[in-house]
Amino acid sequence: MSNMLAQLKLSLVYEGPSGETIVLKDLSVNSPYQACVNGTIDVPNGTLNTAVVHLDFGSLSNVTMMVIQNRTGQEIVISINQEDESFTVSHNLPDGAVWIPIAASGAPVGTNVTSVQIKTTGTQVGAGLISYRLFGDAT
Amino acid sequence: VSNLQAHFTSSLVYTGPSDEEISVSLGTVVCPYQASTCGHLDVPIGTPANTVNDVPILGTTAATLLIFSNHTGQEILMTINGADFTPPIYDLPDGASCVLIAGPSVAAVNPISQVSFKNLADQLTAGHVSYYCFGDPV
Repeated sequence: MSNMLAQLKLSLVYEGPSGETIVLKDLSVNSPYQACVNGTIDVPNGTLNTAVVHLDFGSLSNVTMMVIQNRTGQEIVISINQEDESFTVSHNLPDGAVWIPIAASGAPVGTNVTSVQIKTTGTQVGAGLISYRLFGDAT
Repeated sequence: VSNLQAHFTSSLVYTGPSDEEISVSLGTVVCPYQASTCGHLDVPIGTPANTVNDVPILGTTAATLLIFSNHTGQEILMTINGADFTPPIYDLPDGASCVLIAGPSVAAVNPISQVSFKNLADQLTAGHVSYYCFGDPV
């Protein structure tokens, strides 16, 4: 079966050094895939501070695109490709933030994104969730 | 000066499990900033393998928006907030883009303050990485 394509479009409007409006239109990436995993991870009310969530990659082993949205209501900590319990921190992601670590027309030949761990930074107040969309394993 | 704003909008179209077309608006994130730097970092022909480049985000110590695209012609190894590439974070293929953060505020702890990459092979033609970095809101 031929690859399917996930098409990501990005646009950006910002203010330049002289106050001018700068428009970056439709940076587009087509990422091929045979496997995809999309869903939400619930972070229930009362989830304890520093609870660790492992993002489930399913059968995916060669990611071409990954989109994560933090909708927990609190800042979360990101760790990439740390399979052990050391949880080496990459960076934090504020509530409401989008993170797209890779959007590529092919999977890396070398080091792929193979695991993502997420840690809460405070006790969860109210129901929250983390949205994820993973694509990969293109032929 | 009050914060300036970068409006980041993203959307995704893909094929679902039953061959249905799924079109998703990921919405617009308004990213505040006082500091910004956007440009191309050139990777000249002849650059040896394993050369480390720090993306020149200059005075930005806490990014709210950071977009990065690889136009070097080769796969590069990326690291976020880690200078020594130990352990490596992940590779970004040629032509790929990443949005390391698009947030409505700066992270209170562990904000992105450094991004570095290493070319994995000798650079055979002129290439570059492009970047858009915003941050340090008040």
